[in-house]
Amino acid sequence: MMASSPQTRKTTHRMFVVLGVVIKIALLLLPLLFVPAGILGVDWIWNSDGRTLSVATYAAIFAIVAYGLAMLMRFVGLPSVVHGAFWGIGAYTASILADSWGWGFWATLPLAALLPAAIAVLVGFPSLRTHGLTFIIVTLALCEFLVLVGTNWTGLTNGPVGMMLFQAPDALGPLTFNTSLRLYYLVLAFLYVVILLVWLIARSAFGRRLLSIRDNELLARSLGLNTLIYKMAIFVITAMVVGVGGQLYLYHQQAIQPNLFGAIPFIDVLLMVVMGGTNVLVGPAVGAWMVQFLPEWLEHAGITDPNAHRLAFGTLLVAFMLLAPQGIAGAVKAGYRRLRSRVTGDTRPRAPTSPGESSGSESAPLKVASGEAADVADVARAHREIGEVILEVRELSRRFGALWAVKDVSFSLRQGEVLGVIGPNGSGKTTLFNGVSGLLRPSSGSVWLRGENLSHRPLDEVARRGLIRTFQHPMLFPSQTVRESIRMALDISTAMGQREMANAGFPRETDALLAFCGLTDMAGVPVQSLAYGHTRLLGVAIALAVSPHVLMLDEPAAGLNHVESQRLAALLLRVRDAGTSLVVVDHDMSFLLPLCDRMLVLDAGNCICQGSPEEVRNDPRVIEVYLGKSAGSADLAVPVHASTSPCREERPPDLVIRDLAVAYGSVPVLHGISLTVGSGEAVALLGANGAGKSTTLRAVTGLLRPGAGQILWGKERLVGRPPSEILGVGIAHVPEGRQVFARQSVQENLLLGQFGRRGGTGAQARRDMDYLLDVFPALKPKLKQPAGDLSGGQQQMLAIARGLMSNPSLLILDEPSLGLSPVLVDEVAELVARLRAERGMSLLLVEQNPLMAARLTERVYILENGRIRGELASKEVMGNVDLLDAYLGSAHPASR
Amino acid sequence: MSNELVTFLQQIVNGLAISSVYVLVGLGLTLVFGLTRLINFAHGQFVVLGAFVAYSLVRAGLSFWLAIPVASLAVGLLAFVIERVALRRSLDNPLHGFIVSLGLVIMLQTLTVMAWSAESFRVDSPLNAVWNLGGVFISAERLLLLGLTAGMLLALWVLLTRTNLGRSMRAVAENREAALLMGINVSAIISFGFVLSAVLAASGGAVLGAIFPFNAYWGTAFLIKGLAVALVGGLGSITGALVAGLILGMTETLAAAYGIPTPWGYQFGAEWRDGFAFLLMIAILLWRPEGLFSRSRVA
Repeated sequence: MMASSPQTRKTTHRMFVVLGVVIKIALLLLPLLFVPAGILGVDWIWNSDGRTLSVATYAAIFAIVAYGLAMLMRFVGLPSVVHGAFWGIGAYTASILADSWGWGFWATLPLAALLPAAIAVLVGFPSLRTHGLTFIIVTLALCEFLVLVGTNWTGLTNGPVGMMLFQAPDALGPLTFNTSLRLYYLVLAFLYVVILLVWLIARSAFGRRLLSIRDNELLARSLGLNTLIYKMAIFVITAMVVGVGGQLYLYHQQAIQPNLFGAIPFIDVLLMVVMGGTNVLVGPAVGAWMVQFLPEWLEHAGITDPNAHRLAFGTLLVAFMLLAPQGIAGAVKAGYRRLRSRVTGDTRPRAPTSPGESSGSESAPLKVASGEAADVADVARAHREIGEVILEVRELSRRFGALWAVKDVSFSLRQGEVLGVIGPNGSGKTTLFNGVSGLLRPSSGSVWLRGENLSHRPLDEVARRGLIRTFQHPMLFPSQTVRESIRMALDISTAMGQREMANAGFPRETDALLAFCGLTDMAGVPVQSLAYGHTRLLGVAIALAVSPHVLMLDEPAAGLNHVESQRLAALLLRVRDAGTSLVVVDHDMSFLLPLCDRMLVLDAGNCICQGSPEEVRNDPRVIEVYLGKSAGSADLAVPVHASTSPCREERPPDLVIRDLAVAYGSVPVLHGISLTVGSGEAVALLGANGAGKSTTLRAVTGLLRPGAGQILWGKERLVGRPPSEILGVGIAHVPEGRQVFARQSVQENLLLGQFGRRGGTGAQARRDMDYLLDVFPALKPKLKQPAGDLSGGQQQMLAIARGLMSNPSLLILDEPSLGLSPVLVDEVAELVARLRAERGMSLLLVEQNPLMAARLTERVYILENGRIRGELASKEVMGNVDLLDAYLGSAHPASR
Repeated sequence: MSNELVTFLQQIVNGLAISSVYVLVGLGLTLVFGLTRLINFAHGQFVVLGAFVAYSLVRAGLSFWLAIPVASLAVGLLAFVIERVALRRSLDNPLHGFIVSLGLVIMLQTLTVMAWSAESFRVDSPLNAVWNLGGVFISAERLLLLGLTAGMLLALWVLLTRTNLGRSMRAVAENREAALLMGINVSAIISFGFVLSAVLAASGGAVLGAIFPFNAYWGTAFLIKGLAVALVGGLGSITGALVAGLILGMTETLAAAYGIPTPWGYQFGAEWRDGFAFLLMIAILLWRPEGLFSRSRVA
């Protein structure tokens, strides 16, 4: 509330927490009170006759089954349908044992849990290897198949007629269960045990490891977690829970048939879980009670048709999934949290809500003392003792079809050594990483880590031996905060059972590790609202939490600006000094050169050069295939475009962007930027990854709707219009990453490009296609081939040609140099310059590579953290490369 | 011809009819999955509704030949409403969409029971010709079903490979955002694909309803068979759906007719016919999770 002191706020906050716990406990105890309430005569709540008691017993039984399913959805993220059959197997086990051998309730109970568990192990190994919807479909088929077996194995199950059992559970010591009320309390006791189980798992390291799998299975595996075993464990535990639910179901219903346990009836259980919510402890129980009592309430309201009841079920399932996918309990909990934070004024950030907060965290890397960055080179070059060979890769090869992605690559790595790997895109760097780390099975060759042969071992096992690799795109646990992510990784490291194998050089506590990586200030920030530079640091921090002996980093500095990449380099040197050997793939030579002791150059899968950084830099073959002839020479500074000196005042602007603001959810990306592109002018938008460049373009072409601001094309307003109309006014957008239609032919791609063409698709369109094939002769012989078969450079040309098929007056190019080697960048640049000269269109170019941008344009805008930081003539860019580096990061391998 | 051969050929003819419907259902599922990544569990209900609406139209005096297209379009219209109201909102989350479609199964099934009843029905058809080819009986209704399937397949193939609409559909299936940038009305394409899939299923159901008796709970079996066809064929592949539909329909029919002996003396007979679809799905998904005919992805 207003002006309350921190002290009272704290008290109020604590009060709310206590109240929340009280509500939860009261809700959990409510079922216990319900029947006595009837006895006490307050039956206006529930009519506590025999029927209501029976429905309540069903509700408790279904709640047990629903918890089984909900645990899977909570910890694995997917519903399994085969649990319907496990439920039936529990019921049938109890029924058959009672029928044939006269076993009582307590004697059969272990088997009613263990038999479903055994079958879960059998079917789990194949089905748990699948993901997403495939998993659901496989479990669905398994469920229906098991039900079919139950229907046809008449000798055992009595077939479709089913089985009956008229007896109460036998007494347990002094406790008897021979009345409906006592059976109800027995079921309730089991329900409480299951809820306790869920509560304990959610709080255990086991539960956190499961959550790490749900959040990012590949990352969990790459940190050494045997994810299959963990998924199997929860699969089996939940099978046991629903198996026990099956036995209770039998004792209450007294008759069962196979088709009660098929996939369609199991939808009811799914409805309970969805209605209640999976992420709240009481969720499934609330759902089960509502679903079971819904027909009673409807009947009370005068709707007696059972069809209407089923219709209500179906409608509720649809409505909840669409309107409140977190369920009733989830919605209530979220509402309570909101109320609590409003009343107590608790502003602990779940996500940065104001622009100020966000930009504060984003610009944090710039505050790093420049001294730290400057030290990097000195530390790196200081004389060090390098230890014995720790990793040895011998003649590693990997083939895809007829193509050798990696061929006979050998290298060794000593303790505390840093090896850099460079090479053009598609030269096999990532494949090499995948082959060494066990993500891909090598076709031949071997990998030795600390004298042990690790060839053909899976990713997680290699990780447990002490070799950790990171991924090209930052892999994180998206639903966690920074601190929780580290905690998760530490939990995974303790699961490995290989603590003695771990490198002792790293802190084993969350906070110490955060400090080691310079992330202390970020500890409470949710991963999803981290700035890009911090996600890269966090990726390294997560890898360090498992204390690797060898750390392999795939393009760790991609998209970082100069200061950020220096900061990362400093961290990597600390990692090296802690005794971990590093293998680093990157394109950024200014980042790699001071860091590496040795370098290895790949081209087309072959190792073409290995040696000290100086040797590699001066190797003629390396210069030819990778760095480009112009590397380091001043020739590069001559712009390709031959236009006259730009003079904005003479040309009326075509495109005007005014105060454009865009936010993704609550995270602002653009804070009101303004820019213009004159008629026939070429303008570049420069900025680091995450600066908001692509967002600007996406707002212009209508792919996303800005929160505020104006986009004008001549006199036409573009905001709020669909992409097809914007294409129609003459703006074509060639998206980042090319995005050609890989499965359609080159010709079909070009035809799709003229779909929204101005001025029809007649003879002029055909002439345009001929002209473009003339400009891009490489495409001509490939017209009938799928675009996916083209090389990266050819795909970029196809994407540009496809964009031009709509005959635009403004061409928007998003990072045409991305992922292309310097040689290809030159080629694309020349073609774009030629097209502009011949077609006279305007160009809006987004680039990370300032030199490429300067060559093609007349003016550049510099974008940082969603704001325009400056505007210069392209000629000035040449003289200011170092200054630009600070803002943009040096993506160009030659810019050092 | 020997008696055994005649019986065998008769089984093949019967198997073709059932295969056709599997192909039609599988194609629809594949089409929708391709465009939206959604596995529409309510798809089987479109088969059922096609049969029920055709039944009522014929009962109301409409000609059988008109009843089939009218019933198919009516179901298509319903599908349009369902797509716009319910499934459109879960385009970004196929798991949510899947669960929504489970709810739709219950809704549509119950509404069918409420509108007609849970009894079995059969569409009255004017086709009563039966040809006897050397002891093998072929009814006009079965020929119609085969012809309908062949025609639909051909039309779909022409649509997808030879027309701008088809190219746009494939573009949307591959990359929604790039399709937007080409000026394609992605939202309309998705609705069109969904309606088309419902029309395929409903027309098959209407004709099949003249051959076999049907009831409101008929749809689940077709859904699961269609799902098997779509998965075996590779989600998104027409040829795959055709081959997989034939394999499944034939296996089921022949195994039901002849049984599968086991070394321990037990005979897997007609009561196991539904099991083949399940086993096939499990085997294929474990062996090749993308299906038999899907092209391996080029990274």
